[in-house]
Amino acid sequence: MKMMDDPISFEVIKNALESCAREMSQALRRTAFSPNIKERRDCSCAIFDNAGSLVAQSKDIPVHLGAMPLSVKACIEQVGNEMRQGTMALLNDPFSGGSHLPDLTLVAPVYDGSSRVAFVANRAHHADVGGLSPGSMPGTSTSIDDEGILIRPRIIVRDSELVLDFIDDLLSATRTPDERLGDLSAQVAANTVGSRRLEGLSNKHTWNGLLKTFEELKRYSAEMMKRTLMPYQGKHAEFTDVMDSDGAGTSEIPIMVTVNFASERVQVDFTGTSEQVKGNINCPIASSLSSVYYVFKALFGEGIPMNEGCWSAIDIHVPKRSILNPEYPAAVAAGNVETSQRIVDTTLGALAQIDPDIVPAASQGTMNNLAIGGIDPRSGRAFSFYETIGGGAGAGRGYNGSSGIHTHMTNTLNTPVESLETEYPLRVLTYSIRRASGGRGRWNGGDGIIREIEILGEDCTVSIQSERRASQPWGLKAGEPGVIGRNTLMLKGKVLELAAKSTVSVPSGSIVRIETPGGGGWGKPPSN
Amino acid sequence: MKVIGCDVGGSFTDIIMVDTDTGEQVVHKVQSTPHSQDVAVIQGIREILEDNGISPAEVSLVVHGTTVATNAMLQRKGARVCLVTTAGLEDLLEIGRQNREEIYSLQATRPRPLVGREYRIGVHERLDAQGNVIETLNDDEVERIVSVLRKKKPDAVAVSLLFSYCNSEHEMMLLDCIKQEIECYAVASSQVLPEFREFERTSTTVLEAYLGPLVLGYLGNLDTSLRQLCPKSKLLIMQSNGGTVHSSRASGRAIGLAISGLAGGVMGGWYIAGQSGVEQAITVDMGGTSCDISAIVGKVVVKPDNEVGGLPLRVPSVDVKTIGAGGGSIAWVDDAGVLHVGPQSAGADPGPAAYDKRGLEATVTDANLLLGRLNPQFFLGGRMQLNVDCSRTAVSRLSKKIGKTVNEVALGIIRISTSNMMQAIREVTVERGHDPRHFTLVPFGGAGPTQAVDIAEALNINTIIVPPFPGITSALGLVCANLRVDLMRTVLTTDPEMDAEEATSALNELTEESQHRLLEQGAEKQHITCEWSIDMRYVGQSHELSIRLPQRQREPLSASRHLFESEHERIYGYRMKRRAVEWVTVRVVARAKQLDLKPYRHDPLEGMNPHSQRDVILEDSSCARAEVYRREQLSVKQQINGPAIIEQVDSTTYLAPDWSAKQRRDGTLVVRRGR
Repeated sequence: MKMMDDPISFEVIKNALESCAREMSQALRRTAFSPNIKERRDCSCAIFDNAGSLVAQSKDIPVHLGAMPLSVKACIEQVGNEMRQGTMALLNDPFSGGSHLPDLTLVAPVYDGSSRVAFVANRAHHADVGGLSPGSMPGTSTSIDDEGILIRPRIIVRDSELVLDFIDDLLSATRTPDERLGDLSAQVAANTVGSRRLEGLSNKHTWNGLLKTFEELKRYSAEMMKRTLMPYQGKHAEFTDVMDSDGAGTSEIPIMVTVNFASERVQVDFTGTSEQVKGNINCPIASSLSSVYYVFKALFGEGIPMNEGCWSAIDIHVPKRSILNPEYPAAVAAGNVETSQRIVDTTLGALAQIDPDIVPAASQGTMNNLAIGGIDPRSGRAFSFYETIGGGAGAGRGYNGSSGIHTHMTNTLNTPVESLETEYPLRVLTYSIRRASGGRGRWNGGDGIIREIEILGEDCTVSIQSERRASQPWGLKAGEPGVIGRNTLMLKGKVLELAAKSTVSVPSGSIVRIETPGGGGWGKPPSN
Repeated sequence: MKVIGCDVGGSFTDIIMVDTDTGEQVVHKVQSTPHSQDVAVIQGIREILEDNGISPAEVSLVVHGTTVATNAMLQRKGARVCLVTTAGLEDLLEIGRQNREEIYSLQATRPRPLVGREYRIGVHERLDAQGNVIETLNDDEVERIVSVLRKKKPDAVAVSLLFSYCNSEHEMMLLDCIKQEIECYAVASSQVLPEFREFERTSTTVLEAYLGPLVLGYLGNLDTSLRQLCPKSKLLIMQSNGGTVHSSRASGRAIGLAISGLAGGVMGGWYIAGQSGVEQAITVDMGGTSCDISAIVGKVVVKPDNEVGGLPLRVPSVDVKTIGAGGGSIAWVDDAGVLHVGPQSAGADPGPAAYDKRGLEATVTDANLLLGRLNPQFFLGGRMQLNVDCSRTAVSRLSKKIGKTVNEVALGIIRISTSNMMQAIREVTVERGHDPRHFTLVPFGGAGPTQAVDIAEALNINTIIVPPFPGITSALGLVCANLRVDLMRTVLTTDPEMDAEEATSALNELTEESQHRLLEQGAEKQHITCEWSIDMRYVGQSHELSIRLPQRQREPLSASRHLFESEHERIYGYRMKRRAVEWVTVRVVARAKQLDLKPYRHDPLEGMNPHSQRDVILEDSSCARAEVYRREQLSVKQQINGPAIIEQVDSTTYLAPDWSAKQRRDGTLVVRRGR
């Protein structure tokens, strides 16, 4: 089968599209205001065709990237008529294309004369969008209304200008409006850079040439994925893993998957997974799909360009009203960041039944979300800090897991101590590898991290969303599991255990200590 | 006066000598001495002087490109370093930024840190974000650190404490004491890279400590030997940024030489391309051991960061990619019976099988010899005999393993080596959205021109420009480089209360300091040019735009504000009304032209007949009679049609059928597809 007219033009345009997405990312973080975006790069950029299918993306955050097509499609559906040249639409609605409220997605149409031909879009995690606790990542919310402002797709940029009147509700909901405005301007900049770069490419290759390549790209990736999945035809497996808790009283919440490699297509079915829960680990459907796409891309898609074609052979069934496909007004803050990691563990667990040689043991299985907010005594103003912390990676056949690293659905950087202490009334006391926390094996799992932060602000609230505080990241082929994580608060010599999901008010001088889980080992450890 | 450029490669050390009055160039090549590169450097300089009857006293300047630092990083053979860092953060080097390179790779790995855990020492002290002392560094603690260090017996010590870019007092206390008490190369982060972000600053400082002893030891030896040989000569070293520095000024700046050896090639290749009016060039510097590739569009790009062997370093560096593909790259067959070429190289010793120096492995050079592209009697202009039988024996060993003829294997070796290079070229062109078909190929290094047509065929490139002395082009790049000093200072001031005076005086002081350093290195005042720039951002951002200023602004800050806002709008599409602007870092780049290189002239002669003829094996395994020319005897405007071979002392250019070449007056050989 001939997949493309001219392989060199195909390759050149493919890479030009990827570098276009990369430049969008650069523009976004170089102009952003909050450390979570400018230092930790908690943001992603991509290019879509006129129907909202992913065409090319930058190397950012997996959980964002696989979920963004649904955001673009939601915009087309709900405000498609209004998306004229020079406009951009904003949304964060988890029940319609969004992931959780802090992730604001901005979508811009790209025009060839009077016809709309493509979209560019970016998603950035904002450090505060209102709700019960600073950081908008409450540990114990039970309704979406507790988590901040919900934005259905709406135009906020007109004639290439951000219209403040269209976001006044967002600016009044957030504790840090100045920072939000700066970050939103950065998001506008990213899309502007992306559109401009695409127009430049169209001058060189014509829109006809580009749009043809869009189609070729998807066809190529679909065909390549089909080929690598072929050897597994007829295989079938199921696996169940658990979420520790929902932060609202329920624990050991099952996620169950059945993977079936039928002829030419793979069926991934989450029947048997828990119904949606009261706490906030419900994972919006876009993030759930994104997690499955990630697993298949990582295991079977090496070297294959990432676009909608990669998952055209995968049929995913997620029962309605389950924790992986919740309905309004479910609380979802931790779903996108915590449950998504467990979807990966569960799906990998099933695939390990089929071929353990290609699957690593479980990684830390959490992002260790930490949000701290209150009043900065240096300025008297509100501050809102958010970060996630790396841990141990699972070992695989032939390699040890890395220590102190972000795995699977996220890849955000750490907050440099020097940035963190400059911007916030916080002080980092320890930032180290948590020795011997990785599971032993023929190949060892990676170690977690210890991070201790002293709080110097006033009226501060600490929110934690974490997992693998009860169930261990599993080993494979007789490899030992990783050590579970632990959250504590130290004040005046006393040590208090904090729950895996918690929101607490803390006095100045408190020290919060997060110990992140190790990864699982692979293969039987050598006997001493 | 004579100026000498000396470039060390993995296999050969190349020397060029230029007469500053007449522009005359002579070249020479000796085998490299990898264990002490200076031995070959001195030998090469001595020989080029003797061969041309030049008195050593006539040499005023030697410019040197070295791979000492690069090799130490690639082979992990630098100094044994202890890191002294703020207690609680000893693992920073290991955690890095906690991210992975490939987002879909399940096997997320990072390079092993240069300093093992037991050599990372926490010191009890603490500053806050404004540089105020929270926990004092007392004498007992300094004493304790020194005694711990004494037991570890390091070659070098890197001191990197939190917030030292705001206040270097604690670092300096430690550094002074360490320098007094312990014999080692000691550096502090506030001197190496006074910038915020502790991981980047620390890893760059560690690298300085890792490379320092080796680089300084090497330069010291070389300087001593050179003084004995050419008492009147200065020694300048090529830096990663494409400019040179006096050898005595490298202390504390060893990382600035991280890719010294590569930068010369890029500058030389670009000099040749620029001379021919080429706007987009791919330079391919293929020596015996490796191949350095850069794609240049309009001008040589100097990046703020670089990476060697997975080690990040924040030092201005020219944009170049290296792969293990050279004439000495070894061909081998894996368990599955698949033929591979490189990245291992036979280097200079034992070298390819054809050198007949105990080397039994078949290399790219052996394949070229068997295919008739190289002349066994005229390698290095006949200074070295190649043994065809040894090549045949080596290649036939592979041919038995995979059941192909010797010629087929030789062709296969060339094809695979070409595809390895093609891969790297695609990375610097296609992957950045450039179409290689629109570029001109500039092949050099001893082995580049022999394989240039193969590379051009593979990438659909139509034009190749072969420099006058391909084997010596990197050395030429050294000779035509400028002295360069990059200075910066953090000023961090915000409007409306901006401290314009501090920034202005910083710029003036840095200008004076950089001029002073250039004068000290022997530059003449009228040849010095300075470039001012200020890194700026809106208050709240943490990445800056570098704004270039027309020099000697009386009020650089007010002048820059307007430039910044238009630049921000040009790049990002908006300016922020009513938002304060921040001036972060002022920078001065000072350059001094060393020498006005008179362009090389190729003397037009009457059209020459081919020197001889020999059989070459073509792509399809057929045999054809190729005409053989000598480069220096070609006349301008004479067209040579492939299959043909053009030999010269330092390289051999091969023309496949369907390719033709013309020698030009400026010394370059232009090779084109078609006749």
